[in-house]
Amino acid sequence: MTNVSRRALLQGAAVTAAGAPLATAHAVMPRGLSGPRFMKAVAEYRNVVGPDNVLVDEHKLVPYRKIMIPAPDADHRAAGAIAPGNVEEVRQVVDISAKYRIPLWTVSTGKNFGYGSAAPALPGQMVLDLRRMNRILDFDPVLGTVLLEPGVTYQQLTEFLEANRHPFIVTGPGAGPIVGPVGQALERGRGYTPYGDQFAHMCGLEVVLATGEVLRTGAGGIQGSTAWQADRYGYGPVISGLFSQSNFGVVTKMGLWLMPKPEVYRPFLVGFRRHEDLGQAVALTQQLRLNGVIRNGAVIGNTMYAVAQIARRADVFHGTGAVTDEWHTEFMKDKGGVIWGVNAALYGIEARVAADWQTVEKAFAGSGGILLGDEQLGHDPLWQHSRGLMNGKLSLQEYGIYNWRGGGGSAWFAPVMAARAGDAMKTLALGKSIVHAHGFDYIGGYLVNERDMVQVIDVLFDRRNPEETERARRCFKELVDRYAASGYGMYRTNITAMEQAAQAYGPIQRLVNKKLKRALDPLGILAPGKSGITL
Amino acid sequence: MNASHPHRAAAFALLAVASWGAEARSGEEVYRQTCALCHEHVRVGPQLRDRQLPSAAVVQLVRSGFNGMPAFRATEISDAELQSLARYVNELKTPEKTQ
Repeated sequence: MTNVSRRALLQGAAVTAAGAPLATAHAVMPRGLSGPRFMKAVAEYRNVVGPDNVLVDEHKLVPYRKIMIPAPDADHRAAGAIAPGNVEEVRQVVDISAKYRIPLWTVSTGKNFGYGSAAPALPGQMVLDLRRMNRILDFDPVLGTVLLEPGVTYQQLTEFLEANRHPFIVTGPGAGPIVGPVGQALERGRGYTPYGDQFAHMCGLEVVLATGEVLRTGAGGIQGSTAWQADRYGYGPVISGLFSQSNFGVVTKMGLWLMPKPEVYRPFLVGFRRHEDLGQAVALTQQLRLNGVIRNGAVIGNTMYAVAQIARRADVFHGTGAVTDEWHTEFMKDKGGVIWGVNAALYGIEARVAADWQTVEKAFAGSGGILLGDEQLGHDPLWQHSRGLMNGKLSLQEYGIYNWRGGGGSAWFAPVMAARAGDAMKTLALGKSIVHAHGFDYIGGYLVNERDMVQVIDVLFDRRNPEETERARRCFKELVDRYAASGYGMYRTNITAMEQAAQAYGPIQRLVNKKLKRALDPLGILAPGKSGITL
Repeated sequence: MNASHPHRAAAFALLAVASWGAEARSGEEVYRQTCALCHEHVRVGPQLRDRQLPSAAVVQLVRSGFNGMPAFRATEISDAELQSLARYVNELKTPEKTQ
């Protein structure tokens, strides 16, 4: 974390004429490696990927060290970065890493905000930065499939589809424009169209293994197959999933199914005015998801998440401690009074959408929820962002939340649970009590699927303030521990909590992961610590 | 890839333009594809126009990030592109309204 002020930066006072920062930190080395031997390995990496694509100088590594989570920078400091341009270079880099026992932490677009960005779980790893590999290698307009390299962003894919008038939409997350489908699918991130589960819509991986082989999963193993991006299973065990949230290989290509652009798209929002309405909102939404009326990942957002996107805390809240439910209710009073908003949409041919709309109206009638659509919400920027996300239009509107408290601190807490009203109310009370006890605001919501749902809470804090950062660290740890004690595990987590999150899933899963790790990466060079998996 | 299939052949022709970063982009293009997402389209980042931000400061901010602003690596915005971007941002002005 830099101590340089914005004013100093804007005056140009903190940089040398060459643009290098004046203050540099000490280098971090891969564990057990001497300086000369490390530099020998660096020379070999440079022979493979070119001298400009291997970074070990401190000032060149600055972008790899920007994290938002409540952890010391030193705990996640990379030894360097390597940016290969193709799969053969990746394979050779892995070979060199095996030779020198240098761990590699793979990133695709490296924009995993609030989860660790591009920094490794354990210090001293070389970041294997695949962002340069950004080709859309294949597109099938009949099957609606693409074959992508890891560095392709959702924005790039969108521009490709729009430029060529291909009638498909993408399914990006809140950071959509600058992140990509490969990272999103492999992290099993959630999106907002009917294809929101990107992992469920990936089809066919190319993976460089730690032992040097290049694996193609499913039909990709058959010479001349036309089904690599069409058939998800192939023959024998379905092993694609082994390469998500894991460190068993380096994914260099991924097939993805694209959602056809719907003939009619009708987004809507159902507003509920009481905090305790969450349970009913979840129950009604889940049933509509289960019976296929709502087909997209429906977000039940707490309107504090909306407030945080457009306001600064210091401008609107003058109390001490956390924002209370009473303050929230009072603040929303002259703004429609909504506390929870169900964001969902209907897709399809006109007749189907019209019929589904009647079902939605009937479902929410008498619930106390207010059904709103484009006519009522118009050009409201938050609605435009939400309705866009559910139809493949990406924007960074949500990142206004980082101005709420300021200071660049963010740790996403994301437990997964059954999509039941009882679980919603229980976790709402639990999450709120913990973040409030640590002086932080409850900023988040629920993403509801047919049977499961994810609660998301962004622990926002001022990372410039060491006391607040330490408080956020304790808060996050308590969240993970107490949710686990109540039977709730994380569906993903940040680089500093991976070990803790893995513990919640029990010793046998960890044992199996360890056995797989030993078999597939016997030297333990691929991303040690990822998802709590080590040799 | 089966180039004998008409759709696939058409797709193949299009794929040549489906990669980013093969050639250095102009400062304006980098601004449009990246900076504008927060600093123009939505009110997440501060307005950059008419501020004549020093080029060295732009370079530093892009590489190190600042608070909620992420850091951008050379694999996303190359050193050459960053120099062009810094000049572009330094000279960025609000377009005059036409009468």
